[in-house]
Amino acid sequence: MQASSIDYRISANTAADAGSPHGIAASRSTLRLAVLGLSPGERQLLRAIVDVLDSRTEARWELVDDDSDCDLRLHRPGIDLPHAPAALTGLVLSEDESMPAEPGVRLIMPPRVMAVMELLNDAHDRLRQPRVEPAVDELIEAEADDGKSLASALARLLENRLEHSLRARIVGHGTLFLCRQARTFCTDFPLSQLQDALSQHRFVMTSIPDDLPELRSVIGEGRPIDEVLWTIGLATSWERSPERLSQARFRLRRWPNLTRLSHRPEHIQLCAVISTRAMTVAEIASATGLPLSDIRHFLHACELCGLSEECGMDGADLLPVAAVPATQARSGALGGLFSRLRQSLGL
Amino acid sequence: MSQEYIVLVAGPMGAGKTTAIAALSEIPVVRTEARNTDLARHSKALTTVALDYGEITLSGHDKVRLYGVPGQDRFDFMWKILERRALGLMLLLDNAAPDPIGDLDRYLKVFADLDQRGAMVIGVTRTDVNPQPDTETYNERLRESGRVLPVFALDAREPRQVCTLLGTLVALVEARATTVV
Amino acid sequence: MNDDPHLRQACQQQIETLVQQTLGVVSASVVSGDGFEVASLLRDDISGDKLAAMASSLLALSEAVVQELRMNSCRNIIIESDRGHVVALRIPASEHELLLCVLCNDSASLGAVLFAARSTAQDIGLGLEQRADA
Repeated sequence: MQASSIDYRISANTAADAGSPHGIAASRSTLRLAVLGLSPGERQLLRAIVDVLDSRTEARWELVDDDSDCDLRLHRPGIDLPHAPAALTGLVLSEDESMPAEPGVRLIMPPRVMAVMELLNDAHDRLRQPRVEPAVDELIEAEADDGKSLASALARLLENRLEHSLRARIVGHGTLFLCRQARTFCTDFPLSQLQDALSQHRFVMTSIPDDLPELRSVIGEGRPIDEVLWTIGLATSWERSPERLSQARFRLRRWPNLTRLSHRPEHIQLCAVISTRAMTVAEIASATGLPLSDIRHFLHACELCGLSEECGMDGADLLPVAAVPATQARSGALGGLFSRLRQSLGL
Repeated sequence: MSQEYIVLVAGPMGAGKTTAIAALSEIPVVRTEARNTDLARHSKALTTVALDYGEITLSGHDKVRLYGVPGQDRFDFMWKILERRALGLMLLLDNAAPDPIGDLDRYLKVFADLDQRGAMVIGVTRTDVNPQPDTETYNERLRESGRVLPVFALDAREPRQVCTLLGTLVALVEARATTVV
Repeated sequence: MNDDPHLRQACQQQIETLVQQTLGVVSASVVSGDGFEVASLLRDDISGDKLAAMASSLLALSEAVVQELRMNSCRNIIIESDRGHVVALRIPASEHELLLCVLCNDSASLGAVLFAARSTAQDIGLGLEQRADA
């Protein structure tokens, strides 16, 4: 991982918060925003909004000239950019313009106050973490998970054994409890919002004792913890170096309860393939034709839920298999019955 | 030439086999039911005495044929007839029955051939009526005998869930097929 | 119904008459629609429980076939084997789902056996109706 060569500017009085990525800063920094390619009317409107938001965003933002150094530069696609450095960039798009595939900072015109507030707070969060240039083949994973969501924080905690129960208060959603002993979780907001809640950056997480009265009253309604662990595993990146991954073979020791977990059909295939024998990531890719990132996310989810076991390369195991070429694997001995069935059933 | 794939749906009476097949089948399920005279053991009015038949058409006129066999032991000759020709088995267990784990053991023995082929998935129905044993208990039991088989909680009335179970069976069979040297 | 001793006895008598009076009939059984034996007279080597289950399956399957082929109703099934025939049919009776199953050897005339089986079934059915009215 290379450290970013772009330095980011946060005023000195928030340095104390630099180590804790979450929670509201005690005193506010001032950040500079440059927006290029707007009409005078659009610019006036945006300036008015930024002024209104002055005390509402986590950091103070000021609108600077196009060719100044800035912390966040937003611009319409295709226009010439000034040489002055910008710590973070994003695009300005009209409502009817199609969104680019990769996620990033986006300002949709005409601007809405809440959207601009979200954008500025999000930019502030991104600026507080050093930017990392990911290797190309990991780009997809990195963009799916910027490492600052609740899901990421939980994943890091859960990768080691869970020592305590947890309570997370999530801005805009509510409270999530993870009960270590009972291996259940519950929320005071609808479960349909869980995935969104897990992707939030603004939350406060606390370790709580297993016998906390607040926890006890909600244990009864708890759902199996696997249901949230699975989602977290799929959404966050796995801290495994490529070298370490190439040495390991993975086997399924228990199937996930797929009727209760949101999943894609590819996950069924992946489970099936490693339920028959232990395989390396490369072998799994060869057998299924699926991208490495999908496989890694899947294995991460399996690990968090305790569904898989890892063996070294030299384990006495089932029959070794000549690598099946991806195209042949996909058509399979049964004429690709799984994919055809999916089509017919609309899976 | 069109291919056909036969999938058995088995399990004790009342587990929801006929319901599950109806949830998947494109055609109205062909049933062979008779009035249940063994009301002491089961309160259902009707019981399957030969088999339930449903089908799913795939692209290219191939078909998946679903055969639901009666649950009671006295009809085990039906199980034998169909087991030979089956791609795999969807075993449905009723979690509200007196001894679902015992049922699991019995069916694993009865369908030893399919078991050995690893062509089996397990759907546990009526977990809303009776949450115990939980899926972990079933998994433990399977692990004790060295098996790793899918165990899903299942509402046999829900097409999406039954689809997931069937899709899993097929994926499992395909995975096995491609790993034979 | 299965534990109705009078019913069993009535069926048993009818079966015994059938076997005694019809040349070549070796075994006969009255079974419930869901495959339980009600009354029987069987050759030593036949399992009554198995026969009961199989007869109910066969009849149900055959009726499903006839329905699918839109041929109205299934009157009876006949299995021809190397050593004789198996005949099975429904006993007409409003309340009870009962089946009659008859095994005969080579010396039997199939037509005679069918006739005798239908008569027996009808008699059993009538007897049931009379008892119901009584």
